[in-house]
Amino acid sequence: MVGRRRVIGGMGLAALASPALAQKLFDLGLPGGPGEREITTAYPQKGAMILQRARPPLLETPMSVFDGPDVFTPNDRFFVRWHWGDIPAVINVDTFRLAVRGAVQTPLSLSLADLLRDFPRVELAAINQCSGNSRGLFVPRVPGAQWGHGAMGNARWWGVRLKDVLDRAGVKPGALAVRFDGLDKPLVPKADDFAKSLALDHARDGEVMIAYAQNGEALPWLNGFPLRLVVPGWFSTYWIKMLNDIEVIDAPDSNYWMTTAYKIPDTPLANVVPGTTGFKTVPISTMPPRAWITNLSQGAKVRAGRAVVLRGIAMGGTESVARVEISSDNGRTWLPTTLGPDRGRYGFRRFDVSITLPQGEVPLSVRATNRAGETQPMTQNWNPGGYRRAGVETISVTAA
Amino acid sequence: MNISRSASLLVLALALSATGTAVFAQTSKTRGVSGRGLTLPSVNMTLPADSAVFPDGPHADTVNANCLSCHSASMVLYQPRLAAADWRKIVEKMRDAYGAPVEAADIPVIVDYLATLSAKTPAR
Ligand code: HEC
Repeated sequence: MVGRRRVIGGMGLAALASPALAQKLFDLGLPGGPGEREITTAYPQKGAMILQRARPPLLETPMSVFDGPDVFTPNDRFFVRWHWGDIPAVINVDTFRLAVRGAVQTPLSLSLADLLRDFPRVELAAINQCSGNSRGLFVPRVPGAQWGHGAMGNARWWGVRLKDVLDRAGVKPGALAVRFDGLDKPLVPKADDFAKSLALDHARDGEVMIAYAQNGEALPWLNGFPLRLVVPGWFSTYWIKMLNDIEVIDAPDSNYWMTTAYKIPDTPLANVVPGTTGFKTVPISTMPPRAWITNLSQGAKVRAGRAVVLRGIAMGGTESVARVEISSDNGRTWLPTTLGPDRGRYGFRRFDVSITLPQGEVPLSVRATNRAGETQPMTQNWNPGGYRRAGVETISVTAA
Repeated sequence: MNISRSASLLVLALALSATGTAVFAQTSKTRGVSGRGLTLPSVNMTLPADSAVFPDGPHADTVNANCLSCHSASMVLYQPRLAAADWRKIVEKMRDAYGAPVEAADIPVIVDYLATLSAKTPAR
């Protein structure tokens, strides 16, 4: 870009971007648009990502990355999501401290060395998925970050149990919840810092962890270096990045990001009829089962009358994936698929199946069911925040 | 300890006596915190520049002045087609929930600009 301010596309204005600056574009195929996004390689420690927003960065993982063969998402392709623009560029591992304070017997100030050496190390495979993943596909459309399906990733996390850290500090009787805050800060003084809280019992369940490594390496800076909370089975909004403050609280959290943002209808599947108002809301929490075909995308051409392999990834949410099925007739009949190895209840599971398709346009739907019997509905759920999409995903392909 | 490592520690010690910032740069290159086979190195990162502005049009200046300080224009331009009333709610949310210093007098022209632009996106 040569000494000139750039007008970006979107809102039907992609044509205005000067050709000299034309980037590789990627079309998310959002109903009604605008779905064209730049592919960027300009972010530190990141490979090719879909640029949703430069500042604060929102980077989406292209679906092709999930086409395996591994179930773990490479760190350099792991999606990125920040709310406020003040993200510290310099983090000194020698002086960094994690505070544990509030309703505790002994407030702590833990160094990274303390966490690496003085607490048992635990490993857990878990999917980190944005509450608004796939929001751009909601119909009717809703405002917010216009993600396709790539605001998610699966990693092996190493770290310490939150429980062990809380036990060392000694939670006082009467404590209700634990609030987590990171180094990022709002750009304006009046606004609430991004912080989230978990009920005390949840925080002490022995699974919630403070991660210092992602897939065997330090966390990428944009994924929350040096520490991030891992809340298995729960949406990413709770997985506080650059975690440096843990406060045990004895009154309900009144922070904007708990009380107002990230709230969903208190209805089955968080579903309401578009246009409804006045429904009760609750903070978003657990993830539902979901599945995606990863080797074919919308509009793909395949051979008719011959075996075609379909493969993809599925997640069970809070329980393991029990089965994944494919339908080529809009959910009238379902074909079982073969599941890949189970690499952890909270992670992705691969599936594949061989299918013979008739000539013409064929809808291919994929449905996951978890061990608790929770299954994806054929009809998409809807809510005004564009949260917790749960329905079966269907792509249409042409068999010839 | 090998030679290059002791040399870099020496540089570090010298830097320490000079300025604090020099220490950062040094730390990030040569050291880290280690434990049980894992090393966490200090980081010093930069984000790519973002100089995108809103497309020209009546009151684009007001929108540029009010809507670029916290996030890129793409947060706005990538929204689906929304009616003027929805844009008004969004602008008020920016002011009330996120502390955007938007003057009451500017709201109608900002909403007008956004609704006009948005109308060019197909409905869905
Ligand atoms: C004081 C900071 C600030 C300013 C100034 C600001 N915004 Fe925002 N805006 C935010 C934050 C914070 C979010 C939520 C970010 C996120 O979710 O990543 C947001 C999100 C949005 C969204 C997504 C929808 C939503 O509700 O989350 C739109 C659209 C938007 N802003 C439009 C605007 C417009 C138009 C202006 C100019 C009037 C503006 N913003 C100015 C802070 C600001």
